[in-house]
Parts: sequence; C-alpha cells; structure tokens
Amino acid sequence: MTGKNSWPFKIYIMLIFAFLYLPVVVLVLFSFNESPIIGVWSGFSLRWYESLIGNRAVVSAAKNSLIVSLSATTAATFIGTTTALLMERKGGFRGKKTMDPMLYMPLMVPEVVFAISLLTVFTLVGIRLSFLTLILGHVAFITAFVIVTIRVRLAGTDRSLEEAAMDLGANEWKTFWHITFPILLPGIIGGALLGFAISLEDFVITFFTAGPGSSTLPLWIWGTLRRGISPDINALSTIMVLVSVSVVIIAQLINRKKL
Amino acid sequence: MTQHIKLAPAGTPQAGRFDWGKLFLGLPTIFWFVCLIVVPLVMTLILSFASRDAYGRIIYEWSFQNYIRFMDPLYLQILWRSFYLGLFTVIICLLIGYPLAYFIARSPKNLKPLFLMLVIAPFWINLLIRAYGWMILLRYEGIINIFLRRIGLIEEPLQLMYNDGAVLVGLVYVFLQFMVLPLFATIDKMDWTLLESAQDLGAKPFHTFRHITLPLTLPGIIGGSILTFVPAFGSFIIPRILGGSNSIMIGNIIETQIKTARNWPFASASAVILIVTALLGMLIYVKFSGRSLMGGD
Amino acid sequence: MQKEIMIQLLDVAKRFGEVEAVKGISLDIFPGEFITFLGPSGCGKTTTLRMIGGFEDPDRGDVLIDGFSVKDKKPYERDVNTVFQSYALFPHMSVFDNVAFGLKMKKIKESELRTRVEEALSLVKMEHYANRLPKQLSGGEQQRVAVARAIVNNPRVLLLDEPLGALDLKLRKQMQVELKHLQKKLKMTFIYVTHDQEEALVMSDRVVVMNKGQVEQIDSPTDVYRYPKSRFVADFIGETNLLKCTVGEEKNGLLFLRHGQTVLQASAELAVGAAVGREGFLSIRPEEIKVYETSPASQKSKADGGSADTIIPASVEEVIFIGSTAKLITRTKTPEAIVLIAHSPLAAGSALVGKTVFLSWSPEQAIFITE
Ligand SMILES: Nc1ncnc2c1ncn2[C@@H]1O[C@H](COP(=O)(O)OP(=O)(O)O)[C@@H](O)[C@H]1O
Ligand SMILES: [Mg+2]
Repeated sequence: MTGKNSWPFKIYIMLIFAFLYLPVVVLVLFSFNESPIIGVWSGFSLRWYESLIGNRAVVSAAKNSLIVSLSATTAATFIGTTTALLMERKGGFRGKKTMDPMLYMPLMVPEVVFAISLLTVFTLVGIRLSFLTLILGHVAFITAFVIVTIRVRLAGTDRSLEEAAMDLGANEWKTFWHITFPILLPGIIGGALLGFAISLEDFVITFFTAGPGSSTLPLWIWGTLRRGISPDINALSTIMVLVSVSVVIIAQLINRKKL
Repeated sequence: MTQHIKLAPAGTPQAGRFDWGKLFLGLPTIFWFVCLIVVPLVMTLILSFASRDAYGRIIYEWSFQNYIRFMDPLYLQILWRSFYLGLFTVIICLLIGYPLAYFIARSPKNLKPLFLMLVIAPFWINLLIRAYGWMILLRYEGIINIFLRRIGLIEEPLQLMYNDGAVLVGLVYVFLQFMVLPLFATIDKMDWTLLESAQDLGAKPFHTFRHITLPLTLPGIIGGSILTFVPAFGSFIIPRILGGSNSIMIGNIIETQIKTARNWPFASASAVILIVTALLGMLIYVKFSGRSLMGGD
Repeated sequence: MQKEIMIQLLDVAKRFGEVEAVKGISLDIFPGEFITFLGPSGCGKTTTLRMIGGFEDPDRGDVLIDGFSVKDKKPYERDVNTVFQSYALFPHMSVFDNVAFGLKMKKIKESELRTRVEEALSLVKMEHYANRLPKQLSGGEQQRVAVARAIVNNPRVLLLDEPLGALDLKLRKQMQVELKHLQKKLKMTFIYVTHDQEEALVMSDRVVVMNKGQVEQIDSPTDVYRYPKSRFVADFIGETNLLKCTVGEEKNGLLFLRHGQTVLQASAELAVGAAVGREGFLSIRPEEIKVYETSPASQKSKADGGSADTIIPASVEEVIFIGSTAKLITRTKTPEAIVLIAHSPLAAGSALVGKTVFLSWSPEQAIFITE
C-alpha cells in the first residue's frame, strides 16, 4: 500500500513540512547572522551567543528556568507515579470511577483559565508570588501529562508479574521495589522527560504565576520582546529549541524501548 | 447439587488490615488534585460572582453583575471572534492534519517514527518562541515582505500582522499537533484490508474515502477537533503577539483584567464564560459531526 | 484410616459486581494428590484457585491450610506457590534470578540458594538456560522455568492455572506427562486448572468438575467418565448419548425408563436417587454401544442372569471417520425415532450408510442421571 502517493499529494505534504519548519529555520538561521537586522544576511557569526553568555540577566533566568522545571518535574513525577499506581493497581477505592475521567480535566481546561485560577488561589491564600508559586503552577499543569504516560506503561504490564512476586514471598514493598519499579522505570523516565519538556515549553502558566525576582527564560524573552525583536532572542531561542527537542527525542526513545 | 446461596454485598472491603499503601499513594494525588486543580477552579467560579472596589480589592458581595457586564457588544464581539477563530483553526488543522496523518500512517514502517518525530518536534518549542518565529516572518520589515519585495512582486511592504489572518496562522501552527496525533492514532489503527476490499468491490477512491475511511477515522477527527478547539479558543499569547489590538480574543480580556485593570472578579467571570462556551461548542460539535457523518447520506 | 486434610475449602464464594464467579464451594484436598478443577471457560476455576493462593478474598466461607484459616494471610504469607497461565516470568531478570527470587525473599544463604536453583532447573531440564532472559526462551521453555520457579520453594501445595494452555498440542501432551512425573517424584500436592477434559483425565488423581461457579462432581477420572452424576458432567466429559427419561419401575436391579414410547433399561445400582416417576437423563457412551449387522438376539442366550442387553434396530444416517474408529449417526425406527451415536470398528466403514443395523448395550453402561 505504500509508495502509491500521487504527486500533488506529495507536494502538499512537502508544503506542510515547510510550513512546520519555516519559522524555526528562520529563527535559527538569523541567530548566526552578523548583522542585527533580522532578514538581511550579512555573514556567519556567533556574536549573539557570546553576548548572551555575557548577559547576567539571561544566565540567571536560565538558572531559574532550570530550577523551576527540574523541581516541578521531580514533584510531578512523584505524584504521577503514585497516582498511576493508585489508579491501576490499588483496585477498588471509593469514587475511583468518578476520579478517573477527572484526572484528564487539566488537559481540557484552557491554560489561561488554569493560570488565573492558580493565581487567584495563591493570592487569596496569601502565598506571595515567588519561585514556590511558579513551581506549584508547573506541577499543577504537567502532572496530568506525567500520569497519562506512566499509566499507559503500567496498564501495559502484566499484572500477574506482581502477583507472582507476592506468591514467591515478596511483600508489597519488596514487590514494588524488585518488580513494579524496574519494569515501570522506562515509563517513569519517559513521563518525567515529557513533563520536563512541557514545563520548558510553557509560557502561559509562567506568565501568571511567576513572582518578581523569579524571571525565567520565557519571561526574559517576553520582556525583551516588548522593546522589539533582536537577534539575542534568536540565539536564546535556538538554544531552547535544541534543549526541548533533545529532551523529547530522548523521552520517545526510552518510552519505545520494549521489555 | 442445589446450593442455597446467600450473597455477600458486592465490593465488600477486603478482610483484614488497613491498607497503608493506599493512603501513602493517595496523599500526593489528593494534594495535587484537590489543592492545585479543584480548589483553584472552584475559587475562580466563586470569585466570578464577587465584585471589586476602586483599588482592585475584592468585595464579597455576590451578584451576576460580571456576567451582565460581559453581555456588552464589545465583549460579545470578542467572544464571537474567539469562537470563529477557534472554528477556523479546527477546519484548517483538519485540512492540514488529515493528509499529514494519513501520509505518516501509510509510510513504510521504518520511516514512520522518523516522520512522526519530524511532525511533533516543532511543538516542543516554547510557545513564545514559536510565536516569535512567525513575528519575524510576518512583520512589516519581516522576512516575507523582504522576500516579496526582492522578487519584485510588491512595491510597498504588506501589513501581514495585526489581523485575524495572522492570528489564524499562529493558532494553526501552534495547535496542529493536537489534531495530527489523534488522527494518526486512528488512521494508523485502521484495517487497511477494508479499503482494499472496498476497492476490490469496485468503489471509486472518493467513495471509499467517504464511506469507509471517514467513518472509521471519525473518532480521531472528533477527538482532534476538540483538542484543537479548546486551546485555540482560549489562547491569549498568539493574538497578543500576532493580532495586537485589532484581533483581541477572550484570553486577552482575562489577561488585561488580571494584569492591567485588576478586576479579578470580571476576569474570573470571563474565564467561566470561556469554559462554558467551549464546552457547549464541543457538545454541539460532537452531536452534529456524529450525526452528519454517520447518519444518512 | 482417616487421611489428614491439607487444604479445605468451606463454602467459599466470590462475586465480581454482577457476576457470581464462585457460588459456594466446599472441598477437601489431601496431601500428595493431583487434583484438577475442570470446567468450561468462565466457570470460576481461576477464581477458586486465586482464593487458595490469596489473590482474591472470598466474600463468604473460608480456606484452611493444614487446619488453619488463611483468610487474613497475604499471598506471601501462604506456603503455596503458583504457576501462572501467562507464566509471569520477570522480564528484567535472568532465568536463574527468576528461579532464585522466592529463595532470596526467604533470605536463603547464597550457597544453598545456588544448589537449590540448579536442582530445580535440572528437574525441568533447563539447567543450561540459567543466564538467558525470559524473552530469549520459547513458550515451552518459559513454562518450564515457571514451574521451576514455583517448586524451588518446596511449597506445601502447587497451584497451576492452565499452565499448558498456550502450548501447541504435541508439546502439551509431552508436558502433561512430564508434569505428572514431576508431581509423583516430588510427592507434592498439585491443584491444577484446565478446561481440557482429556488433560484432566490423563493427569489427575481426582477431578473436580465445575460449572457456573459450582461443583458438579468430585471423583476419580474413571468414575467421572463412567458414572457422571449430572447431565452437565455426562455432556461435558467425552461424548455421550443423552435421552430424557422418566422412571417407570424398578425390578431385579434394573430401572425401566420411559423415553416417549420406548422403554429402556439402566442399572438401578448406579442410579442415585432414582424413584418411580422421577425424570432424568439416560447417558450411554457411544463406545459402549455395539453395532451388529444382524440381530445379536439369536446369538445371545438369556441364560446369563436376567440383565439382558438392550437391542435396538436403527438405520445409519452418516458415518464419520475419527481416526481409529468410525462414528455412526443412527436413527431408531420403532416406536419412534431416536438419534444415537455409536462407535464402530473402521472395517464396517461407509458401506453401512442407509443400512439397518442393530445397536446393543448392557444396562451397566446405561447410566441414569437425575439432575
Ligand atoms: N477480576 C474480575 N472482575 C470481574 N469479573 C471477573 C474477574 N475475575 C473473574 N471474573 C468473572 O468471573 C467469572 C469466573 O471467572 P474465572 O474464575 O476466571 O473462570 P475460569 O478460570 O473458569 O475460566 C467469569 O465470568 C469472569 O468474567
Ligand atoms: Mg481461568
């Protein structure tokens, strides 16, 4: 059935790929431009990258981004793992049926609504906007994705493996440690990487829940953008593109690894 | 061997001990779900009935005034724009996403993951950066204008940004994956022998598509449309960057009310309206698309 | 001599939502026996086994092991091991580590552990595969490892849930013999689950025939086959002719049964609970029906004591080749048509189709079943 695509179809597909990659290619291309005018190529240069490294605001924002995404991912992975285990393995707690579809709710609520809801709660409860609120915001948002990833993996593993372990004398904890966890590990890592990627990708939640002094890379870009576009942003974007895409590719590779 | 059976009620809790494991597993879930999901959303709902004083402080007097205020043509027009931009986003995403998903699903097995990766990769780039990419292309001194002038097609640069078209391009670009992935999942699972047998029975390609492929992939179409519509309808960063003040969407109302006007109750009411409209739209869509495609010819 | 009971099921029942999987089963299992739960798919065999293993909690009733209730005991606290239908080999561990898992959990010393694992592996002839991963083994090999992993712990009882279900026919037959030998050698109690009646008859000391969550009959394989106590058992195990009958009278150790206008005889001794007027079924195994081309009545004197064989003329409608014998589908003529299946030596062959033959069986082979 393959290889029978007609020419107009092929061209159409190529145009779609062009559409997908045009902005990225342009972005990356002009991050290496000598001239500060985006659109006019005047020679290869790394000057924008150099200026980034010299920019203390950017370096500190990068550090913040990393702290936020790593902390949020760690928490979300922990919550995601326990929730997946709860939903897939600890059969029969009251309200499980109701709970199940609700876990996917965060995936269906528009991010803006989510973001201002979190902002509202933080403000009303009296938590000042800070790193903490930013991290909590990311945790709120990315955990649902982590749960989905880990659950898929868990649902795909044979339940009788755990029963076999118990049959052979392993208690619940030993069963988890020797059997469930090692088998689930690729799923956990996959979920964590996905969560990390989504956290890096996010702007909306960050925009609303970040406090002063917790400027992350997207916020720095946002701030800089208001003064107009600049190749600095291209250079930073290129680095972020590289990081995000490699995280996702690694996640895919790990997730696909079969047992 | 007639046995008299007296049944224990179904789902009797397990005899024996308290399950500490369940509690341990439950706590993080409860923290996340209750504190970070349910409570914030409920608070927003509650707050939407409150009002505020001149300094932006919230006054806990309950009324529908925020909702009434939203009925102003100014806001309704924005809501309408959000709706049709969301709708067009879905349609264009379908027109782009379906052939793309079909193409990937039908490509050779060893190339499939590669194509899939190529399609998904751009969506892992930070939303802001993706919008910025289009800004570089579309703006007045942008690459497209430079290019068109260079080849002599235009004299003066075109105003490509700050209109609905630019917002639409951005929305499609940003949310296309939500359409492609569910579509790919259903098309990939489809039983190709069905198509072959349909052709075998003399069905023309269009008929095969209309009567076999389309109904079989309908779940993917509906799922993808919903997943695309909701974030498109509720987006604020794309209209903010590419649409400016000409192409404001409901997300922008929320943002302005929070960040500038400091009218949180009104922002909350807008958020509630956003969710409710999105839900309604989805319900109508699911009903409509289910009937028109599955039902009579 | 009173045999000690190893496992006792006391009216255990289990339901899943609307489904009553097990409806109250009572059963004694003795040390060293090979007992098999046999029944159609969905009849509750696995659920019963899982309640013994501790993977399901009974809604009602109790399970005793060596006289003690294990109701509150988790699987890892029961001296019972299971061979799972899917084998459930740990995919991330080598064959050796799989087999050693149970011993490690019991904190057995390294040196002893090694010898015991090797011993168990050689018992199932897998000693050369110790370093492989499960996915590098064939289905049959995985099955052996699963058995080794269970028996290495020297359990009081081994539970096997359709362990051969995934193997092809030839391998299955071979493994049936091997498992039976293994059980004799180890003198271990085996509780075996299968839906394959032949497998159950070949391997077991006793067979527990189950249907719809209930026990139909518990007996030795021969008794289950020859003296089915219920219509279900007669029908499920082997092939049989079942005729709906009413008890007419009892005379000289014989039951005279009415099937419409026809009167048939059965041994009264073997018919439990048959009273005059009672309805039931007569079961006659096809291989117990002798086929004659001429009436055997003249050949056989009535001198041998009253219990004369039944003889019925019938026409042959179809002959089906089934290997060593042929299966005849026949229809009797008078007083009304009854379809009976009989086995006949091949020689008779298809030449019989359309001909009239005489069917004959002795009353001892005609079992009257009241349920
Ligand atoms: N965990 C379960 N949840 C719901 N129904 C179940 C479960 N386990 C078994 N059942 C049902 O109980 C009945 C008996 O199942 P089972 O014991 O597996 O039968 P068998 O092993 O004899 O095929 C079946 O109808 C099955 O669908
Ligand atoms: Mg079963």
